[in-house]
Amino acid sequence: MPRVMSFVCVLLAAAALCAADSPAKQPTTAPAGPQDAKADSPDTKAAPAGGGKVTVTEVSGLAQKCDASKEPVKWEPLKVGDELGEKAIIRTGLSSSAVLKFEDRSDVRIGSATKVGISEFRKDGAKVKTRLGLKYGSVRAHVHSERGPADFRVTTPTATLSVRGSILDGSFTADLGSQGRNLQGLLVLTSALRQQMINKGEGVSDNHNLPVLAMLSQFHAQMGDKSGGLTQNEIQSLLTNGGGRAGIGGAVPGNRSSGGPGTFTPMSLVRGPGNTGIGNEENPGWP
Amino acid sequence: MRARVGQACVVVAAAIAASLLAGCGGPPGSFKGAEAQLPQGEQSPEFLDRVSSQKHVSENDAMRGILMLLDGQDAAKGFQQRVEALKGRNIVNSRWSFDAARPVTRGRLAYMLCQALNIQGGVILTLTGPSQRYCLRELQYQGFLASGIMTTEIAGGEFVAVLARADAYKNTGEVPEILKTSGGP
Repeated sequence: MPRVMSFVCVLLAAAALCAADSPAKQPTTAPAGPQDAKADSPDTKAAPAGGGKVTVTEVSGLAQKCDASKEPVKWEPLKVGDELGEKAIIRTGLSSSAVLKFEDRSDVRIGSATKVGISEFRKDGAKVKTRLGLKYGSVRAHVHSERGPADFRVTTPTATLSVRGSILDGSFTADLGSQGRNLQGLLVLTSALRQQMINKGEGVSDNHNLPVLAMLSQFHAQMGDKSGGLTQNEIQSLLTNGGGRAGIGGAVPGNRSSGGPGTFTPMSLVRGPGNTGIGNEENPGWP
Repeated sequence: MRARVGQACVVVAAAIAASLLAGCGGPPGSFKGAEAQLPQGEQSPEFLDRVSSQKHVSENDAMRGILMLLDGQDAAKGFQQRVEALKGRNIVNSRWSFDAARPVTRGRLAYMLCQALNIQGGVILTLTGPSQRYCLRELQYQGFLASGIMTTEIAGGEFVAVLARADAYKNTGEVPEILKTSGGP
């Protein structure tokens, strides 16, 4: 649904540009990326919400930051006192960690060997909306819901962990998938296949999906449509029934990210809430 | 006739055993890509980020990862220096063949991690000494590595995950629950 909305926004923005009789040069510029589209969207302009302040309160070891909204992307050392905005990306090294304080509502400890992005942090009246995208590694989030309503989510490539007034441990590893542990309050994991509520002291993971994803990442299954890819029914069958069928006629791909007809990108199957960029559907990806 | 068949079986079995012990992929002790370079001045955040998107992890990158795990940095100028540094600490087996560009296998990675983290393991690992097979089984048991056989290559994302677990183990003596695989080979 958000995709449809953003598409509508792009159309509206384009219509507005045309109506304003923009210079001839305008259409020849590169197509607006999703971020540009979002910046131009009337929704964003009209929204009373403002970007909140994220402050770095602790850094241990090696940690770096970059602003994904700026070109060229430049990585800099992360320091205590740094203020980060939306689209900031942080990566930590081995034996390193960092703590971010999200203005008056939550604290996030970024574990070692982690890459995480702030895709959204907005205050809309009393409510604070936070979206983090976790590419790899682990985070611990403490959401202080007693200070007001918070909509806090950590999006991984395969799932979304929604925190409702809780302390959450969340991680994503390529071999294990998304994992969440609820230390306090309520946690919800949403993946392509299910939504699960986790009570205090419980943990959850979506690693039952992984044999399928792992196999698909290694194989371009040569069954299905003429282009050598998979039909929608087969994709659904693979996701529902496990990886067994993917072995039929599998061939090791040359370059999975090359795109083109017949190229099969497993993550694109998981059109759940996760799997994109730094955590929202519009984000084009990681720098 | 029977004796000849028996001898042939023994020879084949010995060859298989030797290849398993030494690791496949070239004559023991051979070296390829001694001068192979990696990005200079790379720190662990950059290294992990770069490797995480790779389909395979080369032996060169894997050894940089192990050195970063142990020392926090990789001061080696090339692949040969990296190998020598690890050989000196008994982390790689000197009977292995080395190829900078060849993808590292799960078995080799497990062997290097067992040695680097001084993981003692169970009875067989203790009695027979480190081997790729039993190091892998031990690390799978301890939740470092997901299930799989020792000859398969390791993907970049998985390598980063394994390094994160090893890093936590080095600092705390255990793999954190949030990063742990379910265990078992």
